[in-house]
Amino acid sequence: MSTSPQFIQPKDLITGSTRVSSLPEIFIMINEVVNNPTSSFSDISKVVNLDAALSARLLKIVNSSFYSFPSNIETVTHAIAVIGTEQLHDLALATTILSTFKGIPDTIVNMNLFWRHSLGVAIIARTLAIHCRETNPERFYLAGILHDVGRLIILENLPEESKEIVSRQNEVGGIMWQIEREVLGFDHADVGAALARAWKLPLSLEEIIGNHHNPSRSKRYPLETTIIHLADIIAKAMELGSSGDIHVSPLDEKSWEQLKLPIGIFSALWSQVETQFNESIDVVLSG
Amino acid sequence: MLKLRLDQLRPGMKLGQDVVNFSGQVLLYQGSPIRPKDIKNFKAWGILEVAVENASVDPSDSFENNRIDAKLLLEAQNDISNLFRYSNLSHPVISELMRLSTLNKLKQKPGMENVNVY
Repeated sequence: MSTSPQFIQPKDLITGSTRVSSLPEIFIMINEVVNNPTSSFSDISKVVNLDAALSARLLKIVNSSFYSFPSNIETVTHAIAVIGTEQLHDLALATTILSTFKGIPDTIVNMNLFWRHSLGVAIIARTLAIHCRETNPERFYLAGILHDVGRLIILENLPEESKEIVSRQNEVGGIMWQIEREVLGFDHADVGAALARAWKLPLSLEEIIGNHHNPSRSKRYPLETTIIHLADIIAKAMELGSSGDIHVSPLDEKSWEQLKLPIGIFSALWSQVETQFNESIDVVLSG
Repeated sequence: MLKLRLDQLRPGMKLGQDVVNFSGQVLLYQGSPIRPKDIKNFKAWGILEVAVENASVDPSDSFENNRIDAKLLLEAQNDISNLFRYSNLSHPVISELMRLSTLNKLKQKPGMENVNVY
């Protein structure tokens, strides 16, 4: 892309990128069958089974310590029956996202560390959501996987500017998303939100991703956004992977108070997340 | 009055406030000296912190308890300082995360693998 970045909008990055300009086909099919009120569990599982890697991965996830179901779940139909279609939809999208971004070279950001960070945020956000008694914790897992994908889209489409952002942080210091704003006029959260809009993902995801550095700006989903904001900070403190930013983002203190969580929760959460992270890293990032 | 995490409690400290479980039942009354079995009981009820009377606590107390080499502790604190460079260090969330993060670093040092102060 040769246009000067001053004239580029986040949505142009999405439409201009062959990688993300359309949703992965398997996900469109899952979307359709899940949203069709006449679909049965076996109709849905037929679609999921079209993608062997996806169905294998889903079964591994539902059989992990994430759910700790008493017996082994061996078929996709069974998995859907126990976790529910909405959860399945979100888990399926989370796993297809990883294949969508396959093959981005490690030149500026180490992709393995990047996905480790995203997975860390996903697991922490899901655990926090359970503590806050949110109804669909998988929505938070998905939001965690997606929260930084804007950075990958920037990396792939604006490589020169990306190099400048990284070297500016190394030389002058500062927080990565603020430097992105200085260099590009927008940050990776804006690009992630534009992707969510282009893919017609639920509005909650668009707001969570777009405001994850400033949850108080989220009008309709402030608590959900704060959970991802906090999970991002915790994942960095735990040093689970790396998003490319070497610093913990500043905490939005007002939003934190709205969550009404006790400070004492962090030590229990820390060890719980470590176990789940180590267990799911191979399942999620292999292949 | 000071609120302490369970790992900072020492037998003999006096309770500054009634400790109640989630249904409001009193587990231990204000003014009672804390016994080791009370700490176990709090843990079982999922109590995270309790108020104590006139106690002063050295913030490194939970480290000291595990006989941690001061030099290694300082190294671990240095390791994480850049990570939290743009954080408000006086906020309780950040100071708790820094404490856990320091412990995490400490565990990666030779001979410190079994430190457990969560």
